[in-house]
Amino acid sequence: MRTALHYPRLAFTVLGLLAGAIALVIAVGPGPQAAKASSHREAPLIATDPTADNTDLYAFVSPDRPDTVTIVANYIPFEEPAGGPNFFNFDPSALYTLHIDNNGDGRDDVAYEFRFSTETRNPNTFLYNTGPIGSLNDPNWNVRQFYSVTRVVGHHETVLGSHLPSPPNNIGPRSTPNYAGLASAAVNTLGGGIKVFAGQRDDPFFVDLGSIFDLGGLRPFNSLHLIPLPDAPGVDDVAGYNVHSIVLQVPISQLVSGNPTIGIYASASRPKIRILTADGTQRHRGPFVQISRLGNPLVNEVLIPLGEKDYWNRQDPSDDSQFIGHYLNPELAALIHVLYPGLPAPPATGRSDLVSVLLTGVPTLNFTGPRPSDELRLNTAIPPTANPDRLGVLNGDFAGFPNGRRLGDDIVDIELRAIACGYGPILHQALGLCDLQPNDQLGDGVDANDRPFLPTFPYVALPKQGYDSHT
Amino acid sequence: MRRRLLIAGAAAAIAAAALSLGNALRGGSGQAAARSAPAVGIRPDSAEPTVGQLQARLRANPRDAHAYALLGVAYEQRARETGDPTYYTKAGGVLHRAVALAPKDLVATSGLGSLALSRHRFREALSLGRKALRLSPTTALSYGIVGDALVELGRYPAAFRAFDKMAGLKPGLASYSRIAYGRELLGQTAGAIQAMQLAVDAATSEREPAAWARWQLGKLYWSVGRLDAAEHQYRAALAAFPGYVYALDALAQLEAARGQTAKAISLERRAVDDVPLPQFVGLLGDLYRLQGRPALAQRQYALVGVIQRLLVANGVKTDLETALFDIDHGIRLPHALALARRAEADRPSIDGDDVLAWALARNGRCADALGWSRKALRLGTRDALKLFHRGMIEQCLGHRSAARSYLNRALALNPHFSIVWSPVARKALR
Amino acid sequence: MKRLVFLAVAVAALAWPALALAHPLGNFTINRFSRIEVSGPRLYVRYVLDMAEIPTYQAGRIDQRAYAQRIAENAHLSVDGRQVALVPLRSALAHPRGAAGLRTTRLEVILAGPLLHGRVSVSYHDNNYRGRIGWKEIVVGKATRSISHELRAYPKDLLQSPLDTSSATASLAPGPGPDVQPAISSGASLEAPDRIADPGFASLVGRSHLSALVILASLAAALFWGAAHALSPGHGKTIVTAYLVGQRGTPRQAVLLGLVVTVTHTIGVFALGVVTLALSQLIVPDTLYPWLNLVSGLLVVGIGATVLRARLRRGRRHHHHHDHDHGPPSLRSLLAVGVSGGLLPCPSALVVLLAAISLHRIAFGLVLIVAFSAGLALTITGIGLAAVLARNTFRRVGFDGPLVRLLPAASALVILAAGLAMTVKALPKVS
Repeated sequence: MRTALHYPRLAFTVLGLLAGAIALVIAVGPGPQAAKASSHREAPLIATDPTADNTDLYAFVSPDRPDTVTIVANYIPFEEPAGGPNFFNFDPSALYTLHIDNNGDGRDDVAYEFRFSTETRNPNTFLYNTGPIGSLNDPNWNVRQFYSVTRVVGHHETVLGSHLPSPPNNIGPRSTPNYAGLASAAVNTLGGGIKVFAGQRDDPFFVDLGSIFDLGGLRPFNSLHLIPLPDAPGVDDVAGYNVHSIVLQVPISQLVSGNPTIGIYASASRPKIRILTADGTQRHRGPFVQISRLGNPLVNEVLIPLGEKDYWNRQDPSDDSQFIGHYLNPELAALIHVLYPGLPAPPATGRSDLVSVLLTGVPTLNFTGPRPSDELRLNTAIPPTANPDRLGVLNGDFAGFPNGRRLGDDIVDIELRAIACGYGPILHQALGLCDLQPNDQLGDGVDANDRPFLPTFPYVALPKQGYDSHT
Repeated sequence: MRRRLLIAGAAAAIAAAALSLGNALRGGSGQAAARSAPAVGIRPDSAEPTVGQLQARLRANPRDAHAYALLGVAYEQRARETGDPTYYTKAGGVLHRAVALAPKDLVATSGLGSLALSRHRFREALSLGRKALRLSPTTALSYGIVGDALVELGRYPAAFRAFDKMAGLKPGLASYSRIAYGRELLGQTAGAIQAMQLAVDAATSEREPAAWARWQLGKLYWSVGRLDAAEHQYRAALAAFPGYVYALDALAQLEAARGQTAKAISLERRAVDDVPLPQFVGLLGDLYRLQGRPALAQRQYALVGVIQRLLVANGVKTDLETALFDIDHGIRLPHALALARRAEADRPSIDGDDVLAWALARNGRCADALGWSRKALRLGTRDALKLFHRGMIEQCLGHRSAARSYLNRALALNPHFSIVWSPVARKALR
Repeated sequence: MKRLVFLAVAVAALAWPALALAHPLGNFTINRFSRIEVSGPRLYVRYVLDMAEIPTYQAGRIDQRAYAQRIAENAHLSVDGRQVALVPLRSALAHPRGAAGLRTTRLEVILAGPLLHGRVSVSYHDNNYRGRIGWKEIVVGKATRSISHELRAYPKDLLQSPLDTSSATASLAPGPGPDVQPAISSGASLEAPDRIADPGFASLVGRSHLSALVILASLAAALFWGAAHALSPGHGKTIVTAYLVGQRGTPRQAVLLGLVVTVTHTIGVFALGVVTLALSQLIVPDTLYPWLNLVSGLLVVGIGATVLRARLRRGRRHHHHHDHDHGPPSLRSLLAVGVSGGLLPCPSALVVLLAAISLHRIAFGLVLIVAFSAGLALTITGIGLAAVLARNTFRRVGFDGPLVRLLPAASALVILAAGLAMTVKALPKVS
């Protein structure tokens, strides 16, 4: 039998290559992976941006003052109450804005700008406080924040209040013994019937994050999941955290113009700077770049793909028609059927119902016009109800989400049912929206915040204290 | 005859079995299961809980490409937080799995890019950063990767454009600090300080980035001799992140500048005990020498040699800092020159140029050194050490007035720019 | 024959030499392990300290007794709420080899705890080297498994963060039997080379020392891997088999095919390497791979179509003949089949190449790839030979009928089908 030896040329070529390579190897230097060597500069790349992170936006007709609207904009998610040594503060270089669009063109017509400043009484210590903080003026309180509120209408700017105090973080019984008193002292009344508060509060959001991010698990429906588990009650994974809230209460008359329905969104912006500057000592008045915005809840988290998030955050709502594809063909709708094969599959294309609910408003409820823009739409002509239903409009409570958003509205369940095409019999009858059963029963099993809300301004519960943060 | 039949049959059966076995071993295709929802909220003060959550998620579903990508990124952050290099290896393994499952995953690609930067593979980082930009041209982070790589490759105009793009897309700590760096390289210290202050403001609650930003701001103050302001920032960094080694090391240099050698030594020892980077160990040795304890100094220098051997055994591309150490301490100068050449070839930035210039000068080749020193100073950077090197080169070439000018400039910026070389500069001016 | 066996064994032995790998957890870690166990009426703590290269160097000469004493002082034990002292009984010290010819340290200490009079609740906190980075593990029970094998083999699980346990609580009761001190390691167990499960071929490039022995051993390993790897899908085994069976190839042609596959495979990987180096700034190697898949698939489709057409044409012309000998396949067509089989670089080889590039050990990597390709060839040749043998055997036996007549055309169809499958699979990845 002939073998490779009968093909000398080939064999020799191969051997020659081998030999040459071996010779090279001897000359070649060493090899593999690095321990962390030294530092080339290594600036952070993947730091999140908590101080500019819009977490939630609420807007509702104030239940105790129905001629006003209350807007709550929350920033800085997952504030661990035992937050020392740094504690949490608004970013003094950022611009926090609440935008109101009252003519349906997607552009804001009235805006309220918040700027913060941090003052350190004693720069020689890094302690937040050097003794108990008895009042907002207590000399023991070392790192304090103040803010100004400016109303912008067109090019017209009016400063409504400046150097307004923000309360301290809720640290513990020694540092902040009478926190309720401190917090209420920080409620500021400005002219024209406007009330404002900016500071730490309990995070009013409630959701079973742990289960939802575990392949879309909904604990009460665990047995229907693709990877079944025993059914269980939902767990509020946001309970126990604080947040920083900007709460603004404004008479309705100062916001509306013709249509009683207004569109609201919140944003955070930072000054844009470049490497080359005129003289290196410019003051930062602008231009500001919007780095986060929030109208309707969960849009950025669930509908906008990862590669577009930075871009989406910078857009003005008036340009949101460019994103309409993500609303018409939501990926999540297709996912629901994959994850819950036993449930009827909601349509994953042609979802003009979602466009209605989230981009233009629902006709006869909170419609602002045909121009798609992501805004929380509040129909100020609908009075607040005495007994709010957490499922809002889905259960016939038209003062709830998606008509504005109250603190107690369970937007996770509402949006889940909306995307799963389970709007419920009421909306199915009234507006012809789809209602697949049992998709209209879906929910994460977390129906309320762990702390009760307050009946009066600023409505959001007091922040959890750092001292007993894990009790 | 029958025998041959049997053999043939067996051979055929084996061949068939081999084929089907191979197919069976291959397993399913690389399709990830249903893509799960985006990132879990990252707790602002550390990446540790995120790591745990993602590990659990992956044990339940080992084909979740996106979770692998997020875990890789979280591991990289843990590496920064803890200083433990194992996390880099883990990050690499997990990110490669992510890319194998989903080659177009943006997070995995940019995660690999930042990992390449940490490993000083700048060309690879540039390529990955560009790939990330092709996947999504509007994500700011990718410009950061590209810009960082370009800086280390000495391509400054392109790097600055990338940083400007990044800051235009998403002003925040990551972009502000890069703008600050660009300004610093161009010698605009006041503007750099302003930008870095914005970065500090944007950090607030996150420990590691807050400490990092304050440390950098402190270094900027230090570079122009404002010791008190620098100290304030270093201490603020330690308040934000107790035990942050870079702040300890920086504070040690500051105390040494104030003549507090014992304090400096105790601070540097804490840094060395936690993360023995060669520059920390080298500085500790210099401090011992300053204190008049040459034996202890020698032990530290020997430890630097040990670390260098380990880096080589681990296959690290020769680092600038280790080359510089040998050159500064007169260790095997010709060999150090070869190291410096290789280091510069790997990192043709102004730092690489400067180390090579110094290496040539210390080997007596001042004429060659001059060209490299010019390159190192071409951006107008106000860096006392680079100016000092230039001064010494000019002196070596007999250009007395040029030498005096550069040495004066160095000392004017920061009279304590180096424990070892500041006295030399002062002496040369007498 | 005996000599061959001896050589094989020697090579195998060399293939796993005591290589100096870096300390698996980083060169500056100080790793700690405690095992709390009960022996008879007494509680013992078995403590292991594993210091990597840098701390070992910094420590200089280690006074075993002083270290054991310090460890005992810093390991805090409380029984039913009361602090109890731990007393060092014995210790064992070794300095296993680490990276770069440096030593690491393994110190084992047996600490004696109190006598137990009934069930107690025990709380243990290890305060040794607090703040130092390293693996920290505590295990309760004599037989409880330690995932690091008591700091001998750190797991490489990517989904596991380094253990960080410095405290443990347990409820313990005195056991039956006498009070016997736990054993302390000695000899090889104390030298404890890290038995990391090497992930095969790709890791060969990563060996830190490249002495001539290591190179030869690695080549042998690469050969073995290539042979084993050929059993996985791809590399034109189907095509080669079908071709040889259909074309009535001879054993000599089977061998030639195997060689062609080898050379093509090696050249393919080499070429990829050159391309990668040249374009390393522009192209990430991963993106080339799908294109290679596509080209390979198209080539096979071409071959299959050509062969099928030839078969059909000949079949029409000479259908009244049976068992017509069409003559040996031309060298060109043989080459085409061989090339198509070897064109697609195996993932392993590609990984080696990419690793070699990034590790600046390109030459060594390429040498390994040649050996790998040779192993590949051996297997494919073997399979090809088996196919030829089978075919010849069947022919001799006289299975002659319409089925056998159709065999050449059928084999061509198989080739075509395989090629189409490859092409279709490659298309989405290319976009």
